[in-house]
Amino acid sequence: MAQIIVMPALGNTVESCLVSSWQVAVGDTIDAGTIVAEIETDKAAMDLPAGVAGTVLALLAGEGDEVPVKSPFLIVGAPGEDISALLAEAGAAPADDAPADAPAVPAAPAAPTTTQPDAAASAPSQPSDASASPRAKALASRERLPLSAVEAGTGPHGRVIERDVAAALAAGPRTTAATRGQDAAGVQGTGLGGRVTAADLAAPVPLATLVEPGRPSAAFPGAYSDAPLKGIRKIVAERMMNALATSAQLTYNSSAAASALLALRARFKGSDADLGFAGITIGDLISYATVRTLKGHTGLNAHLLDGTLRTFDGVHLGLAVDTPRGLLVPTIRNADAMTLRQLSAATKELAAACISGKIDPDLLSGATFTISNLGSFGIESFTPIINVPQTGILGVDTIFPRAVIAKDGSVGAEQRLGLSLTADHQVVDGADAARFLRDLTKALEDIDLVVMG
Amino acid sequence: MAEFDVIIIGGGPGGYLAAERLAHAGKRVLVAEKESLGGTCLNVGCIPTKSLLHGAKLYQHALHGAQFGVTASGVAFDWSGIQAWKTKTVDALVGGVGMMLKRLKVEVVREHATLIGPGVVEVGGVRRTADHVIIATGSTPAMPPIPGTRDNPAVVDSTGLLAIDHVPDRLAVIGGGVIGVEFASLFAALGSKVSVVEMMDEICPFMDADVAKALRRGIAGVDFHLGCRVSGVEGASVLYTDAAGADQRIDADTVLMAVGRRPLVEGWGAREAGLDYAPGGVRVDDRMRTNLPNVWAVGDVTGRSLLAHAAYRMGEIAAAHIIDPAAAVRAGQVLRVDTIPWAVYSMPEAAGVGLTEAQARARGEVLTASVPLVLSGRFVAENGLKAPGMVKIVVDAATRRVLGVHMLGTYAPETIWGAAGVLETELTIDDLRQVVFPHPTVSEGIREAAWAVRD
Repeated sequence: MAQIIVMPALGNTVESCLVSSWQVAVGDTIDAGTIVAEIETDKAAMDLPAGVAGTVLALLAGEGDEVPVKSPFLIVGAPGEDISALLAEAGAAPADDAPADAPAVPAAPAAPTTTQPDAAASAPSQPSDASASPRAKALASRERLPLSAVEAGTGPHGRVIERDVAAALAAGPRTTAATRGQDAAGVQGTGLGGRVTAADLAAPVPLATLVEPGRPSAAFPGAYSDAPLKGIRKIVAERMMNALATSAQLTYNSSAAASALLALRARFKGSDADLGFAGITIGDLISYATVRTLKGHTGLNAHLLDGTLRTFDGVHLGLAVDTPRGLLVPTIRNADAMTLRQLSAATKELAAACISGKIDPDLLSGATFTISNLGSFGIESFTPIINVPQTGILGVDTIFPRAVIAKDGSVGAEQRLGLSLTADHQVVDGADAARFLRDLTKALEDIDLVVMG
Repeated sequence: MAEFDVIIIGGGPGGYLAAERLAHAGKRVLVAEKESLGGTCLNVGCIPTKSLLHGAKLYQHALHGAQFGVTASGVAFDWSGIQAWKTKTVDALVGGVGMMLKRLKVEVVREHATLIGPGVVEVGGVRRTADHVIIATGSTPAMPPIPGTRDNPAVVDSTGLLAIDHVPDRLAVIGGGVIGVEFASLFAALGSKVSVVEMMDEICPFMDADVAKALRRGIAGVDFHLGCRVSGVEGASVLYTDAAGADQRIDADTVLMAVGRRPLVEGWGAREAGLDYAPGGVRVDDRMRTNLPNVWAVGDVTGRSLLAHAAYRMGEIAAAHIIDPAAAVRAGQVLRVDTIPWAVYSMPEAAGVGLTEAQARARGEVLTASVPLVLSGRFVAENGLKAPGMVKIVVDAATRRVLGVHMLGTYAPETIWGAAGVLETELTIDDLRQVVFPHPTVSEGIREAAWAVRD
């Protein structure tokens, strides 16, 4: 005869149990020892044996339902038996009215299995949401703890039960209200009592860097001196940072055969002083060639200001000068209108004025393109910084012999001049810069012809 | 083995609290203090000003008790009596610090100390050794080179004004920061004609602008001149250029120079010892470590915050890391500058913690709300409906975290620690709304502000 199985009283204080999962389905044949459900109290999770033999006719609770102690939760009988009366009784009857002959489920077999995990549970796998009990899920949700933060379940079959969540909460990093529930594992908190703060999560400090005891010796090597940046140094510092922050600079390196430059310079040097050529330097020749080449590359002879590119027909050439007070960049105005001798003379005059500190401040601005020459220091290549709002600066490197393969295949050496052009990619594309360098190289290699122009 | 576990240079709040914590943990500690224990706070700062302000507040209450049904005749104050109370208070508290250190067997040496290097300090000409050294030399009033202020007997700093033997008829204050505002309020309450000249467009630039404005308007009897640049002092007259560019002058009897304080980074061997410092303070990390091994710096000398309670906290942090570095790290013993509250004890009082609205807006979207303190029954009962008082709250619009609480009115300095707790634990505005505030209290203004934020 079919009978109602009620939820056993598992202890004096247990008022209800939660059906974590059914282990049987309607129609299953069971005996007294068959585990019919996995249940959970507020203290433990356990497997519940049937206590009677027969066929499962009805499951009176859903997974996750709380079933009060002594309330009906299962009907067992013979296959095909009519249980409508029992169903009505179970549905209507309060727990106390359960049939007196309904066998109490033996308490002993229902001992918690949590301390004796079976083989499946002994190799704990990372619990997923599906393998957590409803109570565990509820607690985790309430405490905003991701279930993935629970390392292993201690319930039947490795299931995560409420106490696993509670243990994970207790063992986990302490957080502030704002960081609760976020993945703070491995982050050393710098908040109150070591709590993990929002800032700690935004920029976590690895624990290892914080726990080294004491401070690594960062002592200075003896006495030192502090010099606040002022005057030219301060202005240079601000301009450089501003240039790097407001332009898209990159440098293109190239080289030109220097034989024509060296020959012409030698020729000038040996010429009669009265002709006015003797003092013309290789730097002057490079300036002259650059000014000529700029005429065909207006994107580099320009100012970029407030989203507008202003290109110039003429050239005001800025020349970086090393002075005792720091870097100064005087401007040779209308350099494109000058002869080589005029350009050379103007360069010498301005450099001398800078070095002696008598430079007219008006001549320290207004350049449309700048040359910085570090060749005399043996610099082989560098990345000059653009003097914004200009769009380009030519770095002049040293002349030194480089291996070349001649047209006949023979290997030889050739004096070559390095050129380092920095251009603002906002307005000067790589090909534009390359074309400028190609034309400049050509002008330098044919400098003896160019100066006739 | 070193003679001491820790030598502390300076017996102010940062130094003596570190000594107390360290001695409690069984450390052998020496404190070198060339002047009086308690530092600026106890001797020429927080405590003497509060003692004097209390006299001024009592005087004002006695004068204005009629609205509460209490009248008194012949109400008067005696400046020498107010000063005597100040001296009595200071002496008692300084004595208390000395007793406490003595009970903990901290060796206090009343001598000048010089840092020689890690673990070595010259105290009164004698080299003493220790495993750790804590620098707590404090700060001193800043005296910018304004023409006419040097060797001018009419120009005093805060220390000088605290010791003044009379209430000046006219007081000119250069600088509208905490020190300037407290002294202005004090002497205005005692009948001085007080003028404050401030370079910025508002007093107390660290305050939320709304609260600073309300504070300025709430202080009775003080003329504030904002956006003014002082060009010189002639006798007791302050010459300045006003916000419109016009030359102005204030004739006074005493001029208080209150443009701030500067860390005392020189005179005790910092440079010679290779300590990394700048005029703005000895450089420390958030655990108060300097660049030298086992040399720590706490309090005003770091320039991180020139407040006594910040010095306390810094002293505790250094002590915790000396006692057990790993435990100190686990416990979050680091300086969190953003959650250090401030307080001003003028009439009315003001206090705050966290970001101002302007600071918060610079970092992202914010919600704010301001409420008048007349929403508090106790405030109305004790101050009436016209008294200045407000609470402003600043909240992160995205996370709803409380970023700042700014308060003007009675008891604000006593109340603000609760807001500091809210910030330290990163509570949201919704969390704060669930906190129960005792009724009737002025602190309920914070709760009202939390509910006034529009969601």
